[in-house]
Amino acid sequence: MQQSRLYIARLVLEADTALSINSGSPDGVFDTALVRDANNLPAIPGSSLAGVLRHLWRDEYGQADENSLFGFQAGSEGAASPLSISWGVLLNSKGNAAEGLILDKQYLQDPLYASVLQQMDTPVYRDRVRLGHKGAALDSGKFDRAVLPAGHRFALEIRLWAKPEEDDVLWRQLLALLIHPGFRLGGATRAGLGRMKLVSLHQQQFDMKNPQSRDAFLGVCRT
Amino acid sequence: MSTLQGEVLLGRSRSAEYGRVRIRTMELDRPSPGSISNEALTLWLLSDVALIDSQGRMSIEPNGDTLGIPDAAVAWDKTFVRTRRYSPWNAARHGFDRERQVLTAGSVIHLNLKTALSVEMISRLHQGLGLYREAGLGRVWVNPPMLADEHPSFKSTNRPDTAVSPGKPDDPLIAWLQSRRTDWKEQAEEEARRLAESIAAAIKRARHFAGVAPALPYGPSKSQWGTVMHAAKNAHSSQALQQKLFEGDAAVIKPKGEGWLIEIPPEDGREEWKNLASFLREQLKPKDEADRIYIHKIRVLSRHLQDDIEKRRV
Repeated sequence: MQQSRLYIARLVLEADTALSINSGSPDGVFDTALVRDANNLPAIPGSSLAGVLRHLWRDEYGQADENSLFGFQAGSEGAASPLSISWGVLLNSKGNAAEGLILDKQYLQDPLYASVLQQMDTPVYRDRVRLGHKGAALDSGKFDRAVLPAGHRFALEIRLWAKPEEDDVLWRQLLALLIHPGFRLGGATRAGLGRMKLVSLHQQQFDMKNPQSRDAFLGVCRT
Repeated sequence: MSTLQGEVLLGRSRSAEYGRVRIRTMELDRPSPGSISNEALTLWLLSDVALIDSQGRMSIEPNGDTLGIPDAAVAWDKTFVRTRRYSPWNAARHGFDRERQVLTAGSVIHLNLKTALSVEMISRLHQGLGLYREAGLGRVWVNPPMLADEHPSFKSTNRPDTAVSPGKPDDPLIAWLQSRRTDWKEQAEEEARRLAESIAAAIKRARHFAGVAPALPYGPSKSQWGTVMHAAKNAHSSQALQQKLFEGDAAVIKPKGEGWLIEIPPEDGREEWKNLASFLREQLKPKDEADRIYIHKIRVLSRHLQDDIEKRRV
């Protein structure tokens, strides 16, 4: 049977502690740089969130359904994931998302956006030290980690395709992970960074074989 | 010729939209031959030339026979020839064509003549040499003026450059792309590198004068430059950073501070001796530049000097 049932959840996550999702492309002065979108605003890559959810899923529910939910590749075997997770886009001080390429400079002059854009040149960072096996700082072990201060909010969307005869257990189990105590994003999570708080979640399911449900899906605001 | 005009696809992976070219005809000035000498002839190959000898065999040896100029001998001391062989792919037949052995474009052949060439002969040479002329091979320039003397001489074509560069489209996307440019960062980093070299050279002069062995620490330590870096990392304006570095009792670089007080001998003997703190104060004075350029420059500069100390280069 074809996967014709679509679950959609739109949610807002707030950084409960400072968030540090790094791009892996430092500028030669600071050792790390935050992942930013085309508008230079800090963002959460969908793959980052998917990786954390997959890890939590395995810890919480075991390996059953892991591959079918998140996809897998093993030699010549493999399957695509029915789950898709959007990038998390930063909300401004009025709670609106900066989705897509923002060409209106006025929009980026929002105080919250102006603050994080300023952090491009002067990032907020934490000094860290790499420890050796004896628990002492290693030579040349000092480094810094750029962070986004706590309180910033991101909007994102999660979609899951399912067969119509399936119940919504997987979907509910998946959403439950968003309030899991171990739900943290980015790096240095063991140092307290990256704890996320679920602020709001709106969800709906659509049966694409049902004309009324399909029309309702088409009516969902895309931006 | 009309079938050639328009858009065509050339080369490989055409189904993947590679190789789309637009063809139009245009008039080209043929290079005019230089002054004709009765005793010598110079040929400059403007494209590959595929020669054949009198037996119809391909040849890569230029001589009177293969060039079609009887009574001519190649002056090898004035000749420069390179060759190559290849088999062109024939897309219509899905196979390779006959192998070609050619003298490559750019080769120069100098011939000593026993009898002067007629005007008709010169004109025939200008029409092209050898095989595959329909495919663009065989173009030569007879007695090019540029090669008349021992060293090539270049002259302006006197052709005004009429090409007008396209203006910037009035599109917000272009403005966004320009805003992504990081020229200022590269400029700051280049300047920081130059400054770091100058400061390292000054410390080396001081070390040399004081007679301190390279293995011994001298001047500011790595962690002192780390403090400079820390100040730059947290600075929001050039002025604030300058003050933090040099002003007051809590300055990072103090004239009487350990490491910063070493005396720098003048480079050319005309200037006065200064201690390193004063030297740096002059060197690191903000110019007429944006805050972020100055701040980034100081950050990169201190990183360079930390590396120099780590690797014992100062």
